[in-house]
Amino acid sequence: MPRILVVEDDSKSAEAIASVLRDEGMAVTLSDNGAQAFLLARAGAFDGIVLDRMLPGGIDGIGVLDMLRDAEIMTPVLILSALSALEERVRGLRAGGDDYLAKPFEPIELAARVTALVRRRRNEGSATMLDAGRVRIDLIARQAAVDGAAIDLQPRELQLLEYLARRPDRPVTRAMIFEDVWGYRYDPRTNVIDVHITRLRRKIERADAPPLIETLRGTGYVFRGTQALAP
Amino acid sequence: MSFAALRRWRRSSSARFALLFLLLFGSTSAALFGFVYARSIAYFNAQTDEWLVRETGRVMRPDTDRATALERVAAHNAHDVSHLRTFALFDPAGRHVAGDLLDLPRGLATDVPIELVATTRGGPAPLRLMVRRLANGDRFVASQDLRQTRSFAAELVGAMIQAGAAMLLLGLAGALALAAAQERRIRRLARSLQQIMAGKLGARLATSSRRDELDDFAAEVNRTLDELQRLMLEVKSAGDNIAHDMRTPLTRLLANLQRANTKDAQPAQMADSISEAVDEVQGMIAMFNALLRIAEIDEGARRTGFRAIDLARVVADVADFHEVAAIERGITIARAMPEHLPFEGDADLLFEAVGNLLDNAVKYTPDGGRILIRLADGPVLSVSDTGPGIPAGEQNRVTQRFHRVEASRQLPGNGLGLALVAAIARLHRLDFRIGGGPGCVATLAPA
Repeated sequence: MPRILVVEDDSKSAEAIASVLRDEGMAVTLSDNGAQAFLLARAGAFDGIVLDRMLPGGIDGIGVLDMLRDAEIMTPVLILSALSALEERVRGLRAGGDDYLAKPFEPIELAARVTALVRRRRNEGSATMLDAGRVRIDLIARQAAVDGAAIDLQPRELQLLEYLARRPDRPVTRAMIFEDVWGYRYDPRTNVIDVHITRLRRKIERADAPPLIETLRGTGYVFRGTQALAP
Repeated sequence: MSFAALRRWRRSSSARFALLFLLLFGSTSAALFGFVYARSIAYFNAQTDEWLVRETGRVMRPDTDRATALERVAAHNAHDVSHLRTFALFDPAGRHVAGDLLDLPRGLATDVPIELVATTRGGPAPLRLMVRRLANGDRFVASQDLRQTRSFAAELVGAMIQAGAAMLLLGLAGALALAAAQERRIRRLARSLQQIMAGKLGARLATSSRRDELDDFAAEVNRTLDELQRLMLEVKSAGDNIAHDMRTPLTRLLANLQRANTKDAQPAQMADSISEAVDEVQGMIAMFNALLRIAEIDEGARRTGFRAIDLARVVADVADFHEVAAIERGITIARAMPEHLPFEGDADLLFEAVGNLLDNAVKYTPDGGRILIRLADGPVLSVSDTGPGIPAGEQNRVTQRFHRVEASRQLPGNGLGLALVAAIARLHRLDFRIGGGPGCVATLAPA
């Protein structure tokens, strides 16, 4: 069970964040100030930290992050902030943050990002082959195969499939997909990503097999393809 | 004039200027008058002195005896009917021998012009005279009666005083009138401003046909007021629109929650209601985020995110991203653009702006239609489509927050997309215009 430290001074927000993460099967520890957060993070082996940018007292979120990185504690950190200005984001990421989420955010987005954060370290190695059960992608030849059959995909479609296949059984939001696959950062409030997914599905899914990509209503998608089909 | 009015006058800058000018003009005139007066008197004296020297020197030599002297005095005085320039002779004891001058003070300097009042046949009179002592001890006196000169001088001074007084009065009246006129104009301006403060936002400062500095100032204030009114209206209509646009989702949200909250709600129904409620809240959050982003972009805070980017790459990415949605509906997206176009900007924001334009184009273009993206140096970017276009009267307003063309109200969207594009364009010092017909042409070009 991943252990997450949530540093948030507003107790209602903290409780809301904690319950979202607990629903995702994470163990949550709460802290409402910078100094305590630093001591907790140093003492306990957390898998991830959700850090509010604004904290009461002398040490704010960036301060905590600085202290952690100085102490060579490399626990992945997601920074939460009411300030969405690019400058703020850049500052947060430069200070050693791993991801950034602006308030107000949707709980599901937070859950998806924290999950991604916690698992990021294990997954993305330098393998030449991605094996996600029913889907296999040759990362060198840029060629995908579903249930053993080669599928002809456009480069972007392949990227999309790779992104999903790397995160099996974990919800990913449209914003996360857009950010990673298209490389631009903002929340496109259009259904265009859905169209891309639909087109990808048309190419990789078969009527006689369970869907590889599941839609999470109003949120995003989850890749289900880890179990190879029974022969 | 009341005391308060007087105090106002004292503070009035125009009155002060007018009075200062009056003072300056008055003192200059006084100096001029004084100069003219002094020169006139000096001229008269010089004339007199010339005569005195001539007569005492030439006519009456020192060795002239008394009989000759008497003769000359009598002859001259007989000629001088007006008794203005007369001769006189006194014996060594100072007694009067002949002439109009009856009495001569003792000890007077000789051979220099002297002014004094002495007794003459016509009574006491101011005289300018010169005394010459003869060899026999007699004193010969040539004298100029100064009464005429004096009265001329008095006349001159009187005239000057009258003219000065008239000028002062006229000037004062003029200054007060000028100040009063200015004061009236300023009061009128102040009244207009008070009206505006009291809520009559459309009121403007009156300007005259003079086009003077006060008019320039009023015009400047009017321009400021126009801008303020525009902003206030925008804020007000944005506020109205937020309220208006929130009412529907809030009502639906309430209905969904109430439905889920009933005792006999089935789990499936409940899930549906809650899921719909979530949609509504997401929509509202999206709207607020868009509003906050517009405000944030307008503050220019994002300019710190500017980098050297390839605008052609960004636009191509946008086109690629949206193309699939267009293809689904049989819409073609044609591109006319260079391979690369270096630009200083924020790639995320530019993707969003161009993405919004393209998203709108796809949304409003009928199935099977055509969209053209052009990009050229400048940079000049245009997205044109074969959709219904935007009515000419609305083309300027669609870039305002919340403005939606009435006919499109039923389509999804929060009416903030084009306002966001406009804000991003402003941040990049680009001008965003909507034009066209038939179809819609959205253009971003250097402002």
